[in-house]
Amino acid sequence: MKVLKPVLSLAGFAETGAMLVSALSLFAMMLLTLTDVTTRSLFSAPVYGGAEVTQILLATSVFLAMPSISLRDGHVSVDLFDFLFPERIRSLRDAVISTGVGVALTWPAVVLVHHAQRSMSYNETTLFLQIPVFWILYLIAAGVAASAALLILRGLVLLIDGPDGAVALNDGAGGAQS
Amino acid sequence: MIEALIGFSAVLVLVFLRTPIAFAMGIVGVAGYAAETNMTASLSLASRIIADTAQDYGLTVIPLFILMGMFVNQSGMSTEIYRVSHATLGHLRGGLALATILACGIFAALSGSSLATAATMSRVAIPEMRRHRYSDRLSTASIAAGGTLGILIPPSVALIIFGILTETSIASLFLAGVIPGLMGILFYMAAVRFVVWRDPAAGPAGPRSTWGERLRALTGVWTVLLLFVAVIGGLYGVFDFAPLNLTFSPTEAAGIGAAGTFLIALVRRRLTFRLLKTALFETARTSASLFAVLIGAWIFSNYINYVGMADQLLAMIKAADFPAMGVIFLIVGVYLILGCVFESLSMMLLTVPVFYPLVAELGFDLVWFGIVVVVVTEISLITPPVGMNVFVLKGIVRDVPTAEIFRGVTPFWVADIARLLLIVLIPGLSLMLVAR
Amino acid sequence: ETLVISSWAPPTHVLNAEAYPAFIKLLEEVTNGEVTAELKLGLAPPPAQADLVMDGAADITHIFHGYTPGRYPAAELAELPGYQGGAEALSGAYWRAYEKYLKDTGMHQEFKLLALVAHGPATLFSVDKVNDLAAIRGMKVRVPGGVGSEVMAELGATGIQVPANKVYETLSAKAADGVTLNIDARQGFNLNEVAPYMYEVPGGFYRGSFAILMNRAKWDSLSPEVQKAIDEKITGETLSRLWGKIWDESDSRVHDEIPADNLVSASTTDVEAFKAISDVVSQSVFAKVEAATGLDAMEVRDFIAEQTVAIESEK
Ligand code: NA
Ligand code: NA
Repeated sequence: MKVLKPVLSLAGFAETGAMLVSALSLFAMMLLTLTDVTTRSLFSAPVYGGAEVTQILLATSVFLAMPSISLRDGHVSVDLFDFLFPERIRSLRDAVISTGVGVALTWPAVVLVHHAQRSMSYNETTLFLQIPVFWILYLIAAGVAASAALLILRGLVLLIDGPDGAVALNDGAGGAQS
Repeated sequence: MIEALIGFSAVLVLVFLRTPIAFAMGIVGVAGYAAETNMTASLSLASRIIADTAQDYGLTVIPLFILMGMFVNQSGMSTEIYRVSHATLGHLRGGLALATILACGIFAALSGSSLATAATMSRVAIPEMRRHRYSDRLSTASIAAGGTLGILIPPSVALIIFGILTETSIASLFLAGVIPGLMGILFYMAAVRFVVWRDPAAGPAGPRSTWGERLRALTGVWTVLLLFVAVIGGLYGVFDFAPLNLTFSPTEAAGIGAAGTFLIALVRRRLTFRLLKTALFETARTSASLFAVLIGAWIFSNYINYVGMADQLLAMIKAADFPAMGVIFLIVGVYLILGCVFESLSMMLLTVPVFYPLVAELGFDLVWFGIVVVVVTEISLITPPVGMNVFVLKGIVRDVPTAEIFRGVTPFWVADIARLLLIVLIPGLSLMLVAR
Repeated sequence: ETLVISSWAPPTHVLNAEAYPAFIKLLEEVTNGEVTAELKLGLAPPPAQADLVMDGAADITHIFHGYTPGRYPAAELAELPGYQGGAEALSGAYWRAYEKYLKDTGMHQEFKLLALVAHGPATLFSVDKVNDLAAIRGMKVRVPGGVGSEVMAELGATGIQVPANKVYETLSAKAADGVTLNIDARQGFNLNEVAPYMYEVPGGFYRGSFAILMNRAKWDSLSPEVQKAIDEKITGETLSRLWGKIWDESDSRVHDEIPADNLVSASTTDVEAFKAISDVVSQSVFAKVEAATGLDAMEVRDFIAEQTVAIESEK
């Protein structure tokens, strides 16, 4: 844990920053929809390129929140068979899964970077506002890469600290509701 | 076929090892597709799916409706909803439980989530029912069951996800959920009456409210009505007249709902900066986890599609001369079994990509199938041993044993099965409001 | 050998129902059954299709050039309004222009290019009846990208951008007042239910440009005999015109089904007015294409126009 402490606090700092941007994008998305509907109804003129901006805000909001749920066990999972595993084994199992999934996730992150580079070479832009598409792809790639890194970090914490590590990490948790 | 079965088993094994569902489906989907083509192709496709899902305009409904639900929780509307239900039904035998069911149904019209409906209503209704000496069994069970209506009565995150997975109109799905949702309210009320008929002490009648009290309570919920009309009405064109000429797309309805609830909470001074931050953070996290699962389901379903599972199943069914309705009953049976152990959303996401192409090819309406899936999902929320709504109740009312809540839920569960049968056998119940 | 075709059009769309089956039949014929293909629907959204084939996740697909703005500047030349001829004639001419001019700009060089297709004249489908060109000003119109978007902007419409498979929902939700597409889209996307009226100008508001692409490595893996057979009897003008022809037939079938009351053809004055608009758009496209490719864009446009007329008359 001592070794990981500086890494963890750095990760926590980056997580908070990412979450703030994510939250602001979400709020902006809400206001943009409201503005769009209002101007559409009152002036028969929707916000120019509004859908494009909404799409970018959505990608930002979702992919900047992804690292946070990756670090803090916020992904939807089934803990039904937990009773089959003793506590110590359970955290070992979670450590292995988290690390493995994190390592696997670096792969699409790299491919996304390639796609971004490719898109840059094509001069691909959005239709109305002519925003270069590679920026959006880089942002998504960054979100995936950060999630991969934090899943691996979570795996390491669980490996070293066992169940206590899980408790410490999950303090800021928030998962899916249905 | 055999590839698809191996893939599905691999997903289940990973899920049981507590791999997040998103990654279990994503990893198996990528590996399977790579086995059929090659790794470069498979990863390229998966990455495109990640990038495109992230920017899919149609998916903005998910965070916006979740955000609306968060603001509804903070705005104090649940209290007003309960008050008006109480004033209307409280004087009957079991009246507070009846009122709870009604309140859950009304709250469901603002919230897209069953767990949120159960959690919110229990904070308001449990203290009232305890004060009137309702049995713990009846009070907890009526909320656990009533709360499930959250994903059937529109808006519904579950129906949105079904619509996205199957490319079915979300507006049609919402409309189709209305009558089965109202049936849910009536059937649950019948279950309450049954319980108090067997054991009158479980739910004594409360004092009758005067018409003045009722009217006052009714004026308290005008914001709720306004919101519902603005959001759900807007979706179906109640503002489609000059000079407004407004009909909302689902995304716009969700945006208006979120913004409207935000303003209401703001005007009522319910919203501190801290609460706003919590609402936004929680919404972003919940949405991110849903997007992760959607992406995983999409990658997995692409693989299932690639190996042609639906076609092969269909050929087998045709060869065996198996009746189409029999297939539906088999699927429902599978859901009821899976529903014992799965958390609702997981069950939908794992199975819908496999089942829906088959159901569509058999000639059934996917809107109707969506309602069937959501009703069985509702049932799973109160089916032991893993009933998420029951767990939510348990989390809030800590002194009632889980087994006690499940026992109380039994009559409601039976009512659900009766409703499910009707919905399966009479598609018109779901489809009659949906314009074709 | 079974090739995998990835198609993003709706299941009942003419491309899936007729054009691809015709292509597969041809493929089997010319290779004596050695090569066939199967259709996979909805693997990825429309703009992702080219990358899908480039990375080998599918072997063949068709792409709509307008979905990826900036990536295929020269394709806009085939989309200009005013060509005198159906989809078959224009598609054949488009291929000839490719051989003569576009090939050297490196267009689609990373793929095995099988055909270039331009659909028939695009019209305006609307929720309320459109009687003249002036009525388009202020309308919210779903635009396809490419030249179609520029023409609608020049006509004063507000562009709404959603993918083709969301057109029905967008119109039924009144998020748009109309959509500009080729004629048979009325059937392919069930527009008769949500946008029953049609306003047409001769030669169309634009012509949508498509390419049929095959994965390079997959192509190289085929035997020389098979390659030769495909190249001689399918690739190029043959396939381009075959698809164009199927599309023409579908357009005319659908056109015949539209009730006369729902159909408005541009008046003589509007035809003149549209010509001016079409010139403005053409000039801007020429400038764009010249800057991006160094082609003499007007020369290419004139060549396509002349070849279109030639093919149309020899049919
Ligand atoms: Na609801
Ligand atoms: Na259950």
